[in-house]
Amino acid sequence: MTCPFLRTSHKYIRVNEVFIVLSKLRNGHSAFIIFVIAFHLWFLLDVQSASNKFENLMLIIPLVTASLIIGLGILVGVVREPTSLSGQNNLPKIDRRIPLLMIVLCFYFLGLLFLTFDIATFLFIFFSLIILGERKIWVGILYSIISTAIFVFGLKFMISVPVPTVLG
Amino acid sequence: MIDFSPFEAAISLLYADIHVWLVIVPGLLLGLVFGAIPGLSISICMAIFLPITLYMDFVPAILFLTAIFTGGGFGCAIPAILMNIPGTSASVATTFDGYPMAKRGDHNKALGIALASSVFGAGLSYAILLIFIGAISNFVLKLGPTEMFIVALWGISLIAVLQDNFFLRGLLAGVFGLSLGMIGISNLGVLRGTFGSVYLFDGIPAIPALIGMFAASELFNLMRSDYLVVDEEKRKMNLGQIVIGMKSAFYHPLIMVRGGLTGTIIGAIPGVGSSVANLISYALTKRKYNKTETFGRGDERGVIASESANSSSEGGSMATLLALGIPGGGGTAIMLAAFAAHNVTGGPRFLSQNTDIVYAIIFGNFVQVGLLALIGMGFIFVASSIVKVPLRYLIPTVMVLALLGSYAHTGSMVGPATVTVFSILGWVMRRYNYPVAATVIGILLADLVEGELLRSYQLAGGRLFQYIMDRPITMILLSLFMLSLCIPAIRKFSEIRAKA
Repeated sequence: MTCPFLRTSHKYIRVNEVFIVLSKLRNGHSAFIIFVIAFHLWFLLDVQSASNKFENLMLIIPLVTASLIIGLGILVGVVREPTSLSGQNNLPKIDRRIPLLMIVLCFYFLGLLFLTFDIATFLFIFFSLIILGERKIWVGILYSIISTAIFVFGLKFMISVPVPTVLG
Repeated sequence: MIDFSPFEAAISLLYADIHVWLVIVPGLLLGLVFGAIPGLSISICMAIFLPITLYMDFVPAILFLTAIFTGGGFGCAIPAILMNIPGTSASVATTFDGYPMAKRGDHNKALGIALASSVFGAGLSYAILLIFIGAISNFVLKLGPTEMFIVALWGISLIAVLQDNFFLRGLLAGVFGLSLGMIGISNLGVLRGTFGSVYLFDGIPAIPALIGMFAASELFNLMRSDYLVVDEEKRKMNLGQIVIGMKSAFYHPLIMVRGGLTGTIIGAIPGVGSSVANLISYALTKRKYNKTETFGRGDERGVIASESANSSSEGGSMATLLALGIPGGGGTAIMLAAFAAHNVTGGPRFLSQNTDIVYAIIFGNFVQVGLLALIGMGFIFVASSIVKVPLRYLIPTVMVLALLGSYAHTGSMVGPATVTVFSILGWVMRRYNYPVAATVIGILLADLVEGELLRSYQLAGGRLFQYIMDRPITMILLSLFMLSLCIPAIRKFSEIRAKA
């Protein structure tokens, strides 16, 4: 991550400083702040394109201004933080299972949308159990079946929420 | 003040009808169950059981619904303490110290504290309602849109003020929440930020967003350990600890009384209610007692402040409903529907002509509060067994509950989609120390903030600044709001001076 031109001349040291700032901006925190600022700017443009009336913009303009000022203020703080070049601060390492479970959660949502509630729920619980360390497959299957039956059919028959299912 | 002739009539009304008492226990249990299941809020429970009230007389019907309200007011604290999931927005502040207490193994005590504070808060609010119902309604009538606007903004900014080291992040999270809450059709009928999707016309659904940000995002972080409470010895269910917790709440009577008063006053403001009351009470308590910096790390006073305030806001919202006929939130809106179904219209005339019924409702609620202490104790004894469940089973189960609960709430796939997106967003925000509560409160109150600002502008005829200057209540509230924003800066400055 360090710049190869470091310590060769003043000019290259400046290049290295820019490189450090950019590497810090590349971390997750900076990405989040930039996302929030970008969202506000896009939102302002969207609102403005819908209606240019003052009443329509009177809350959004102060909010966008505040997000810009505060966001940039935090961003400057992130850049100034005495961190390693990777910009990871002292945050705990991300458990590899977290992104996996996030993906499974997204698939669960798609399953609810395109499959049926009982099948999607069974699959989600089963695969989550495996990801989270359940080694006994039969326990995973049994637990998934029981909890699916309780939650999905409880929702359908006890609270009368119409949910699409294969069974029942 | 109390009128004694209807006072006696109310007592005879309650003793003449056995049905009045038969509905209270089922109502409390339903409220506890629905409040304790994330996604299934008090409003859902009341809406589901509203048709049953059509077969009851007016007083039992209202007492049944208020029993659900009272049970749910405490029920939402159970997932807040045990899983860091506020059952409703009313228990957001309960998570700040309740959950750290549970992680430390003090879940029994935390639940006992929450129960005692809820019982005390609800009881106090009904006592205030009994004595000052007229005065409360007069005060609420004086609040205009500018005051409501400032109170709502205050509620959002409070989370930032509570963030000791990350004030700016708290503010950005609040601003972000407000903007997200403005997605959808505006008060002027303009479509904003919907990407042309019909599912976003009504905006981002607040309850699924709340579930995603609080529940699912925290569940991702829980993967590191095997159980919610790591120490096996501390996982035991202990009725004695629950009782000790209940007792220890009474070691802080001032916090409970202040929380109760705060909740009653703020609960009486339509649209704001318990979502803001618990935060303001928590902030006031933290500011007064946080010399040892224990708040946010499992300080029982935080739980007392939040729970006494959110439970007492029930009495406040009932004051507005009974005296003005204005519902303060989802629960009282359903109660208003029950009023209409029984051909009763709440408001000043109802209050003056049916004072005996109003008093009967208040007395019935005193009994409910007493019963909640007993039923609640048994309920939390069962509910606290959740700490014994290995997290590999708990995490997917709660996630399924969150997604299905959000589906039940919205009646469409918008709910599960919102939970999924906001769980990932919430996890990112938590990782970089952004308070998700600020964003959630922003989403919840955005509609109110924008609506009140627009009404203020219209009432002022375009001269908003002049209008604000002419309203002393607005000026006082604005000054207090600005002062609360300056507090972190003042604290930081004094810390730097002390170090120098």
